[in-house]
Amino acid sequence: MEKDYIFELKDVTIDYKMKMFSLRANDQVSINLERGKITALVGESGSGKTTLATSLLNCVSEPGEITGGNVLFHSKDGTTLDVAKLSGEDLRLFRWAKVSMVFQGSQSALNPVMTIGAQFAETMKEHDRRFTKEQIKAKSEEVLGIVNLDPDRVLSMYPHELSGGMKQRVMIAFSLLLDPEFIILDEPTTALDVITQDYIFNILKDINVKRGISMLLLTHDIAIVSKYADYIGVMYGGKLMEFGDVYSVFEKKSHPYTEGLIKATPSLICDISEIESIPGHSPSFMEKVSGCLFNPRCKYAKEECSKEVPEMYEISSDHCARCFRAKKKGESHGE
Amino acid sequence: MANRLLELQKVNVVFSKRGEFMKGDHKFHVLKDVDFHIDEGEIVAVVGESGCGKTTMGKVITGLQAPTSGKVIFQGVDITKAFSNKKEYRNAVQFIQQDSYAALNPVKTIYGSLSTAILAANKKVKRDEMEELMRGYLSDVGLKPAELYLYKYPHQLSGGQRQRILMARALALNPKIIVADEPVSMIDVSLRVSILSLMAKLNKEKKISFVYITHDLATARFIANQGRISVMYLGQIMEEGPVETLISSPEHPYTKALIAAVPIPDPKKSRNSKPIPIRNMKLMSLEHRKDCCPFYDRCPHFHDECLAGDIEYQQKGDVKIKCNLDLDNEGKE
Amino acid sequence: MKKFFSSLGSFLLKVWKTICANKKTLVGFFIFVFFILIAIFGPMIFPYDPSTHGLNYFEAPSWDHPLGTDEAGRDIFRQLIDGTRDILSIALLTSAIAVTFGTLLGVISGYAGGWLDRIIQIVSNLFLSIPSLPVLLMLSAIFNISNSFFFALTLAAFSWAGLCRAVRSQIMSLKERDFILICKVMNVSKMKIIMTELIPNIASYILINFIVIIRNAIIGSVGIMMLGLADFQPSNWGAMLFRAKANITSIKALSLFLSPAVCIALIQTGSILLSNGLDETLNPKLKKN
Repeated sequence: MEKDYIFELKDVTIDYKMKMFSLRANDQVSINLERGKITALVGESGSGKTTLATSLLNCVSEPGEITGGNVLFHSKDGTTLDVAKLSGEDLRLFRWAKVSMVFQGSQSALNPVMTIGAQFAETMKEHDRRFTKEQIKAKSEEVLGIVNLDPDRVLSMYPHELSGGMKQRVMIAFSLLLDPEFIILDEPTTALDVITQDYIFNILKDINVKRGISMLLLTHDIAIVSKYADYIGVMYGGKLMEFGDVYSVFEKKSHPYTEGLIKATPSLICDISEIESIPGHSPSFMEKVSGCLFNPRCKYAKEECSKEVPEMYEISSDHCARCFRAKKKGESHGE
Repeated sequence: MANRLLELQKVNVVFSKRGEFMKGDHKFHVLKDVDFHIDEGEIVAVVGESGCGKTTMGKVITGLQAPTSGKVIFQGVDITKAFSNKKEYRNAVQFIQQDSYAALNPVKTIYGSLSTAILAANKKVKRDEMEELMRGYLSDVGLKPAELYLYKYPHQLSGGQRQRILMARALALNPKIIVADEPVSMIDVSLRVSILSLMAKLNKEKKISFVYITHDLATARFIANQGRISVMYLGQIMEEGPVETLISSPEHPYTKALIAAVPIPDPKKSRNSKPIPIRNMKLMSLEHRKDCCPFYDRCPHFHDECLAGDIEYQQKGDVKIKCNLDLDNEGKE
Repeated sequence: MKKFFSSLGSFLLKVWKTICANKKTLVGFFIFVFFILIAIFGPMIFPYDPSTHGLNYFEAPSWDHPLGTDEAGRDIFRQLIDGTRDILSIALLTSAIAVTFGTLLGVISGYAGGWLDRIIQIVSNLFLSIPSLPVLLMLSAIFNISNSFFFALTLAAFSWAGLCRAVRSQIMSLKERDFILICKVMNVSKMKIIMTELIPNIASYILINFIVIIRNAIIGSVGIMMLGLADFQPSNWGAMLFRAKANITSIKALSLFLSPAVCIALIQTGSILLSNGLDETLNPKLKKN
C-alpha cells in the first residue's frame, strides 16, 4: 500500500559556504514523513538535524544553502510544492500557514517588550492583513485553550512573566496560529523538568491525534522518542543512519550508532551493568572520515567499513539502515 | 560506622526580594531546615526540579553560600563559625559545575587553569614538578597524552574533554568531597555515561565522596547505585534513602510523581505507562510557599492536616520521608 | 634569562599575529607607527628653529620650505614634525593616566562592592556629569597650563570616569562567572583572582580603550590649544591652527591651516581603524560565526 506522505525529502544536501571552504551539514538525506504521524530525528549536537529541519521551511540560517535535492511538500488540498525552490511571496504564504516551528530555547524566540497577545496579532497580521480584531482574538483564545492556558490572563502578559513550561506552551500555541499542517519541534523540552516535559508531550500528542497535525520532533533524548514518536530517524555527522518505525527500530537496532545511543541511556529499570557509552567523540565537520562515518567508533567495524561508504539498506518495508551489517540482514530477510 | 565527612544541620537559606513600594522586602526560604550528611567514600545524588534549591545546597556545601541559620559541620567542626581549618575545608570540598565552558577562564590555557589549582593546594610546587603533576591528574581523568590538552584553550576542546579537565582540576586539590552540579546535562548523550563512570571510578579508587546534583533520576540511579538519593522539592528534602529502595518503591507522593514522569527508552514499556499521579501541573514558586507541606497543592493524597504546619520526617526502614500519610496502610490499599 | 626571551618572543609573535588578523588593524597600526617614528626621529633629521627674523612670512612651498612658512617666517614642515612629539606625548600620557586610574578604580569598585563601590561611583559620576569645556575654560583662566604633564593630567581627569564605569560593570559580571566561583572554592586569594583571572579577561578591552582615549586626547589637546587656552608650545598642531585662524581670511595661510589639519585627520583615522580592528579581532561577540 502506498503511504500518504506530507514531506518527501530526496537527496537533500546543505552546505555552509565559508570564505575558504564549505562545510557539508547534510549529505544526501532522503526521508519521507508520513501524514498525521510524529517523526523524530535523533542526533547529538552537530548531527545536522536542526539544519535539515530548517530546510523544510526553507530558512536554513546563513551562510547555509540547500545545494542539492528536493524538498517536496504535499498539501492536504492536493497541491505539491518544492519548498527548496520557493521564494518571495510564495515562501511567505507557505511558512507558518503550512509548516510552523517551535524553536529551541523559547526564551529568545519571544519579543520581551511585547505582550503575548500583541505578538499573536502581529504574526497573524503579517500573514494576512484581512484578519479582523475579533478573528485574531478568537483564534488566540482557541490556540491557548489547546495548550491549557488561560487566554484572559496570558494574552496580556509579557514573556518574562511566564514560567519556563508556560513559555513553551505559548510557543506551541504560537505555532498553531495559522492552522499549519505540519509542526517542527526543536528540542521542545530541553530546559524543562520531567513532570512539565511529560505534560507538554501529552499536549503535543493530543494535538497530533485530535487535529491530525503531523510533527517532526528533533531531540537527543531517545527515551522521549520511544514514548511519543511513530517513526524515528537517527542522524550522525549530517547523514541519516537509520530510519524506521519506532517499535521496529528499538527491537532490531540495525545501526551500531542507534544501538550505542540506546545503550548509553540509563533508565529507571534497566540493568546498570549493561549501560555503556560510545567510545570516541562525535565527528566534526572539519575532519574527513573515509568509508562509513561511524567506523572509528564502531565496535563491529571491519575492513570494508573504512573503505566503502555504506548505502541505505532495507531491513523491512518500514525500516532501513546505513550499515553493511544491515545489508546482510536485509538479504537474509529477503530470502 | 563509616566516617562522617560533612553534615548540614537545619540549614536555612533565606533570600529577600525587594517588595513593592512601602511594603518592605519579601523574604523567602530557598532552603528550609535541610538536614543532609555525606560519609567517606559515599555517593549521594540530590534530585529535584529546577528551582528546588539543589544548586543552593551545593553552594552551601562548598562554602560559596553562607547559610542564614543552621550548621555546616566538616569533620566534626562547625565551619560556619571556626575559621582555623578553613583552608583545609576549602581544599577538601571541590565543586564541578554544569557549564564546563564557563567554568574555565577563557583566556587561559588548560596549563594555566590547572596551575592555579595546584598552587592553591600547595604553594611550594616548582615549575618542573608542575607538569608532572598535571600529567598525573589528566591521566586520572582519562586524558592522555597530556600534551594534547595542556596548551590548548577551553574553546579548543569538546564539552566532554572540558568536563574531564574540570574533574582534573578538582583532583589537584586532593579533595575528600566533590560536589558535581549537573555535570553531564550539557554533554552529548553518547558520552554522558563515560563521565559518570569516571566519577564512579574516582569514587572507588581515590575514595572521594560525591554529591551528584541532578534533575535526572536515571543518571542518579546509574552513578549512585550503591549510594543514596535525596529528593528535593521547593527547598526541602522530601525523601531520602538507598537508591534501589527509593526508585523501586517510592513512598512520598512527589517521588512517585517524579518517577512516573521519567520515560523509559523502550516503546513497548513506555507507551503503557500510567499518567503522572498529580493533581496540578503548576509548580509553586518559592516565594509563595507556606509553612506547611510544600507539595500540598499538587498531591493526590491531600487532606486538611497537610496544611497544619511543618511536616515531620517519618522513618521507614532506611528511608526517611517528609509526609504525614500513614505509609504502612497506604501501601496495602 | 633565555626562557624570558623565548616567552617574550612568542608574546611579540602573538601581538604581530593579532595585528595582521585584520586589515583595519594593520593600516591603523602603520599610521601610528609612522607618527611615532616621526616624533622620535623627525626632529633629529629636520631640526626646527623657532627663531625668526620675520621677513619671509607666508612664503609659498619651495625646496627649502616644503610646506611654506608661517606668519613669522618659520618653516611649517619642521614645525609640524616638532609638534608631533608634543601632541603624541600628551596623548599617550593622558591615556596612560586615565587608563591606570580608570582600571584600578573600576576593578576595586566592581570587585569590592559595598561602600567603597558607592564612593567611587559617586566620584566617577561627578566627573562624568561635569561639562568639560566650560571647566577647562575656567581652569585656564586661573592657571597657566605650562607643561605637558599638567596638560595630560587635566585631560585625563575627564576621560577616566567612563572607563572606570565600564570596567566596573565588566568586573561585576565576570566575578559571578563560574570560573571565579571555583577560585573561591579553591581558596585562591582575592589579589590573585583579580590579577590572574579577572584582569586578563578585560585586557583587550582596556587596550582598545587606551587607543580610544589617545584619540580623544588628541582632539582634546588640539581643541584646547586652538582656543588658545594653553600656549606654551607654539609648534603644537592646535597652536598652529590657532595661528592659522587669526589669518584665515588670507589664502596664504592655507598651508598653515591645512598641514596640521590633515595630520590630525590622518592620526584620527589611524586610531579609529586600530581600535575598531582590534575590537573585531579581540572581542569575540563581534566576530562573525
